[in-house]
Amino acid sequence: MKPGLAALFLILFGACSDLPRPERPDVPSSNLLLVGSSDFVTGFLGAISLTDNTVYPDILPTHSDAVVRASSDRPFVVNKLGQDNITLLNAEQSFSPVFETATGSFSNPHDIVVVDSNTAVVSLYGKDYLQLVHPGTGALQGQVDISAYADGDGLPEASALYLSGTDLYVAVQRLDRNTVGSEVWPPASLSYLLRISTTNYQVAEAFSLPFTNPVSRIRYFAPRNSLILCAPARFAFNYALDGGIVEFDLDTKTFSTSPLAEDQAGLELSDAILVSATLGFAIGTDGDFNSTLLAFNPSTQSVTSVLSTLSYSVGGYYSDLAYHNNRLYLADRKLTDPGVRIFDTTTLQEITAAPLSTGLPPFSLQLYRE
Amino acid sequence: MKKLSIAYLLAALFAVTPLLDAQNTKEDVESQKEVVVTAERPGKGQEGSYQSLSFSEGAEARSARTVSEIIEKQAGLKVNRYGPPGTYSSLSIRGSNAEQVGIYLEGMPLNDASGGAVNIENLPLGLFDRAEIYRSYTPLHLPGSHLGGALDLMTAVKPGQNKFFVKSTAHTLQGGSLGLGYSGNSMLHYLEFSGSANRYKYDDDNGTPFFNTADDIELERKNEDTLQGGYTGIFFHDLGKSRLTVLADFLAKEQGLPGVIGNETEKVRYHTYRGLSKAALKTPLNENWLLQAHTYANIGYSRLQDNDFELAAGYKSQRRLNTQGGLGFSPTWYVLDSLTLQMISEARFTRLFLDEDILADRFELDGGLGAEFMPLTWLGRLQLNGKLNYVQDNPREVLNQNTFGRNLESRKQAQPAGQVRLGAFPLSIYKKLTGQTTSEKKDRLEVFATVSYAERFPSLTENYGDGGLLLPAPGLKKEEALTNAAGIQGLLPCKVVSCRIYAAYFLTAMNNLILFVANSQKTMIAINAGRAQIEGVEADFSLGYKHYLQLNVRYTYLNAIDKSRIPFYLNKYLPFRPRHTFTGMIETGSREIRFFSGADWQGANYRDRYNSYYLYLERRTRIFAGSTVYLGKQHNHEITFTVKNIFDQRQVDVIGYPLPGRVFELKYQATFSGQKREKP
Repeated sequence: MKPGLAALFLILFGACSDLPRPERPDVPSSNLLLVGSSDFVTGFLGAISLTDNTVYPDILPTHSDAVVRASSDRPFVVNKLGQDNITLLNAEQSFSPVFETATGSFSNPHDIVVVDSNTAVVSLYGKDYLQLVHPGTGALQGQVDISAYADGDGLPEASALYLSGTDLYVAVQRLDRNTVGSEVWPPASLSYLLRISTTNYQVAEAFSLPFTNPVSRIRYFAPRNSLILCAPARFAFNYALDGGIVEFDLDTKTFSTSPLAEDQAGLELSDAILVSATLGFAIGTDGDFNSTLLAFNPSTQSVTSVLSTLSYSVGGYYSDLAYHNNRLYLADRKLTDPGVRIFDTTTLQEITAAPLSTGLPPFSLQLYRE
Repeated sequence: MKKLSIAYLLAALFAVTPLLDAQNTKEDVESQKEVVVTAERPGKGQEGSYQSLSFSEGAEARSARTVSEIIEKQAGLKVNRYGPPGTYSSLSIRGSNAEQVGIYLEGMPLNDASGGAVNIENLPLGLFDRAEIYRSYTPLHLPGSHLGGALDLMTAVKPGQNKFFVKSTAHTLQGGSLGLGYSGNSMLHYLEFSGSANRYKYDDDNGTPFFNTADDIELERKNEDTLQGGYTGIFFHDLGKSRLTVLADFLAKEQGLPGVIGNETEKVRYHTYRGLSKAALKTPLNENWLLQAHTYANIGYSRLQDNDFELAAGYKSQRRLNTQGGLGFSPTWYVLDSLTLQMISEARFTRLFLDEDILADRFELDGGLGAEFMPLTWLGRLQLNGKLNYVQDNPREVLNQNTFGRNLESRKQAQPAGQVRLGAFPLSIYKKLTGQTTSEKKDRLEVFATVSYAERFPSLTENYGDGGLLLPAPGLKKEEALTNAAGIQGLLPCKVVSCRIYAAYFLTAMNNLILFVANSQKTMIAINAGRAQIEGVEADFSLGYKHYLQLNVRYTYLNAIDKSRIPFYLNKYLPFRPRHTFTGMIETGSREIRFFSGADWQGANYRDRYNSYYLYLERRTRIFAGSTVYLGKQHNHEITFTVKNIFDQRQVDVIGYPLPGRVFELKYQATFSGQKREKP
């Protein structure tokens, strides 16, 4: 055979191979920051080692709109609208799925909390009840009716959950989906923090939030035994500096002075973490949709430092925070350089030389067996 | 990029030519017959630079009930379906995005200045006789500039005939159509109604697509019905040597938007209305000059109705109106027998409305020059096309009201586009060199090489957002693409049988590709994120032996690599562009009854830009078969029965949008005239 002909055959053979099927990695079972990543078409679960920052991308496919949660040592993926399911993962087997339970079309699950070995509670953004599921099998059990807290569209938009003893706290946004005009889903006049007793799954109290539209997860602030959440009121497209960080005192069951209001920050606030009585971190966007990570002093309700900004025109935004052992983890969705960035909370300096790439841009962060 | 592309072009040209010369030494082209029918339209000229696709001849056309079903079988073209034929699909040419493809009806643009792809399901098959496919460039006579190429649909008007025709279909998706037409000496009228309940079974994963198969169920698709009616009329009037042509087209369509698997909607409706009108005048001034002028006005109106807020879009109803008017002028100068020059100029004005508000205005000017040079008619031809597309956008107040103080400004820019095409006729060259008589055929075998360049100005939505969740993107750059191609096309010198070939290799480099990305929890913005390199091979071979056998084989190879500045997409394969696509069809039988069968096979395909293993489709195969019976003394009644997707495959093109499995279709056509119907 002539060399030219042989070369032609080689080229043709190479060209004839089909597109390859991708592979998935093995992952350790603890000391991890679980990362839900997404470009809003494709989603994946990834992980970062808290000890050496090793990244394990693309462990498991998820919905493109999903958050990662852990409760009672169980890692979950909450797949929101479009898939509407809860997936429990087995950490001992590289986070392979244990169950994948549908919560119903348009149910839009937002959060999950394990109450005990037989019951977990799932908040459903698209329904007027909370769904009870078995945390081991995923079997649907019962429902907790919260329809009394819906606004005019019939949906209360229950989102973040937090379990404190036998009290389950539920952030109820109450957005008005039926508003026709220049605003898209603006918040109704009131949003609530519901306290539900897990002894009888009845709403015990409904606290009117000082700011509406609680969009963030609910975080526990141990020094003051309080809950921290962000309620930006009119948000994003409905831009207005009319919300702020909410602190709820678990002892007195009252709201404390806001650690930082939006007009004090000059930003729409979407997530916040309090590290101490005098140090907190928040992310948000300004009127031009530039993203900002800032440090603030909750006692003086003032911004103390801007740690990072991202121009709106680049594409992407800061989407989530996590804190562990004097390290602040930022989900940076900057389009041209996305990844998880780590900041030292004592020096307020970035530790990572470059964002830890998780493949797709990080969307949701969850510490696991830290 | 340009150096690389020119090198590729030359290499491909020189690599192919010797092979062809060797093949042609013992062939005779005298028996070849012309099969390409060309129509004269303003600015239209250069042969060979497009592929003509018949919508009325062959088993492929007889077995189809929509335009898209014919288009999707062509080499280098890919149709992505969001539902069964008749609902929604978009077209990609040579691996382009659907938005980069220009769709035209008799030269009138159907693309919306606000952006997005043209739904090719809104084009009634019975109306059209053929389409012209322009790959990687938009020719002079078609307005605008498109990176992927253009598809111009030509109506079934044939002056001089006098006939009535009926075209009807029925299929097991619970639908059908009826088309009635009249074609006279100076006019064509075509009226068509069609509808389908589009009821079919599909697999629903119950929202647990990855691992849990225990809860998967089979459901019947609902709220995907379509109902449409349309009329198209064309009139000719001769004014001395001049001819005036007037076209009027109207379409009304209502369809359900059924939502995606797992989040099906029940009552969301979508209404589409299209009105087109065009007048064209062709006047030969003398032997050397031809003047052509045209004007047109288009209206595209759509209404989305979501009374129960099932889409959760923040509105119950949204209406969009796109009005467009154009005026063009095109002189052609036959300078010499060997040289023709064309000039085109066109002005267009587009106004977009959203509900009661004017969103934006777009003013466009096209100017261009084309030349065809054939110094020795047996040798080959050089075709040059260049145009400049000037765009000026003026956003209106409604777009300004939700930009948080960011004042939107008018944008204006000019986009060059063009193609250089060099063709050689190897058989003619051989005959000339050996002293034999050369034949002058339009469809003679040609070896060609092209360099095409195009730029696309961002759509109004990309530039200015939608006054809602899509934010304005000031500073957005134009998309650009450079394509080199080389290949062979025409009739092969086969003695007994008729052989036709089209084969080309192409390499496209795209830059500044526009992508919508999220820039906050609830807003998106268009950015110039992407670059891409797409290389491919498209091959189309047909063989016929009288009426006994007809064989069509088409193959497309695509290697579409994302070269964007987005790291998580870099070097991944562009989605919806399978590396290998093959379609084949064979037809046989007598003059009274024909049998045909074929396959559409698609190799591995990623269905997301990230190339995830979940959205990876290993392969897809669709087998179809059918038969046509001709009845009547003049064989003027034609009944075709087709079974499509025989093995009931249910893989989808786009995740979330199910497609029907096996479908049975019946098609009846009849022509009533004094002329005997052409048989295959």
